[in-house]
Amino acid sequence: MLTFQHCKIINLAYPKRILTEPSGMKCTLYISILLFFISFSPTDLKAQAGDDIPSITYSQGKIIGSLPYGRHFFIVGSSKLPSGGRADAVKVKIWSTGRTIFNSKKKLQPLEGNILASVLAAPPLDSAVWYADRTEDINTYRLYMDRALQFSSEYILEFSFSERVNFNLTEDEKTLIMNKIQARVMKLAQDKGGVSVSEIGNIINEEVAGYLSSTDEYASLFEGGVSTTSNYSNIPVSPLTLQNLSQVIGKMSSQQQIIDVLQPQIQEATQELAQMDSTSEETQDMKAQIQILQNQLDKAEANLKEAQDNLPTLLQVIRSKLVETYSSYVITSPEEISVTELNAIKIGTSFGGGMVGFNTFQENRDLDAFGYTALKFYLLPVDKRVADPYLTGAFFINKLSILAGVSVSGELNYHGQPLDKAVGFYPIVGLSYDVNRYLSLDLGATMFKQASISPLTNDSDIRIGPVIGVNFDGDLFNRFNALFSGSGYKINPGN
Amino acid sequence: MSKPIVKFLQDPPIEINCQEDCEVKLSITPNAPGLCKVVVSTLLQSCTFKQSGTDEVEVEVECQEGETEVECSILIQMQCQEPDEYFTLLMAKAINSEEETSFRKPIEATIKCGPTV
Repeated sequence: MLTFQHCKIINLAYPKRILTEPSGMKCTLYISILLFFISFSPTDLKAQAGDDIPSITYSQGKIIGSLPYGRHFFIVGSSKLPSGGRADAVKVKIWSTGRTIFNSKKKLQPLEGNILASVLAAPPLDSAVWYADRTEDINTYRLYMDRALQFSSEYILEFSFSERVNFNLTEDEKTLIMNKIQARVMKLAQDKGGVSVSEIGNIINEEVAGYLSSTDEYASLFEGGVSTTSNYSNIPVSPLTLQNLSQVIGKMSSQQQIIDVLQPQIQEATQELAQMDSTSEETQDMKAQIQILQNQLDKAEANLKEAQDNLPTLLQVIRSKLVETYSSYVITSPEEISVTELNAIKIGTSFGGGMVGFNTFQENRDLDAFGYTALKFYLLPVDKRVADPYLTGAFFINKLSILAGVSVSGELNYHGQPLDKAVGFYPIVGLSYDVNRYLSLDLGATMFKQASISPLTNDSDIRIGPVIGVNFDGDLFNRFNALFSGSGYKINPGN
Repeated sequence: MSKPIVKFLQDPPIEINCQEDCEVKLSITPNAPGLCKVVVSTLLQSCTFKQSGTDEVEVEVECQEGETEVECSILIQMQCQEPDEYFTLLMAKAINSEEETSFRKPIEATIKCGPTV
């Protein structure tokens, strides 16, 4: 591996002298060049590279600044609502639009409505909920986002604020609601020949919700530039209570059905009896049957009356629950679109070895190998400090860079003829493909001077030869930047 | 001729579970010898009998000359559109060999249908 102690070229103006200078001085110059590039680094790199979990602010419907990437983060904001109240819960959902931004100075075109709708229809990439602690007088929420976002990517955020408003119903109002519930259940049982537990539950919820919505004085407080929904159907009646109530009302409806079945039969039988011979055996049978029917009818009527008398007591549980009835208002802000702007230097620093291969198939098997150092200018955003350093979705080109460098060791020859350095060194230009964050394969060209083989002249021609190489990329610009800013280089998702 | 008489021999409500057969016990007074049809039906529109696919199921009972009362039990199985617990009535009527039809006898029934696996 090449180290600083092996550096040989730096000062392009005096190549001959540099070759004889001590290696320590050469490395000092190298560091100077690194510092030069660091001076072009983004100013907010320090904030990103800190070890603390970063926080961003959501205020007045906007994300202030850029979304962090490669790590978990907090979203903080005020839980105060336009109504003057405070949100009981704040929820955020994040979707990726799948679009990437390569240049932070350029704005992406607004998303078309149908594309936006399809993105929002999919499950969110991440979501978090914050619940207010009513025992504390705090108006700030903090949402912990435990999924690392990708750099240079566009995201949609949707914030929902929920507030619970309690309703205080009078006894008369409760009686009114309960009577409506009872009447609807009986009607349904009559129409459909019976009634189910879930139908009774739905009727209870619908009647309570309907009454509350007709008397709701709160909904108007939540208007103003945001979509508001209210939910009255979350009456806090336990399934067991609902089951018991359904049993009672269900049995009542059955008794009413028995009455409805028996009454016309008794009428019909009585009419038949009137037309019979009073002394006949059939008359006695008919009288007996009418009596049986009448007994059952009497029993059903008694049961119904008893159930109705007991209903207020049985409904007491529900009546008490109506005190706790509330509505959850949810304010959903318009979708906020934000991007994770790259704040790393997307220039790689490589140290490698390559070969020109002029003599591969000749008797002279000199491989023409030489060492070089180069800068790699990535075509797409890259940040090697994070777990996923390359943009996903952009195949091949996401790991491709333009290579520009110089040789630091080795001499080229062609069939034993030395090839002079073109400008004091062999320059290298080409393309580099990252096998991983540290290793890359290079393909390019180098330039050299080939002296004329004629003994009559000292002229030499500038020529170009192909180069294939392998290099190690230490991402030195970002490492030095982290070093000088006092922060860690590596960005871990959890801190 | 006298109408046949039908009576349920169980205390209400009859509890029916959709997953298994349910026995309905009846007493029939045919008031005529020969075959007597017994029809058990439900008022509930959401459920049907599995045997017939309709809202009623029919069986025939052989009644001998001089036999005044016959006890029979019918195995029924029900199916409902939605898994739920329903409150309804079962109805029974008898039609004797002389085409005389009894009065319809109602009895409370609860039908429990769980989700089908």
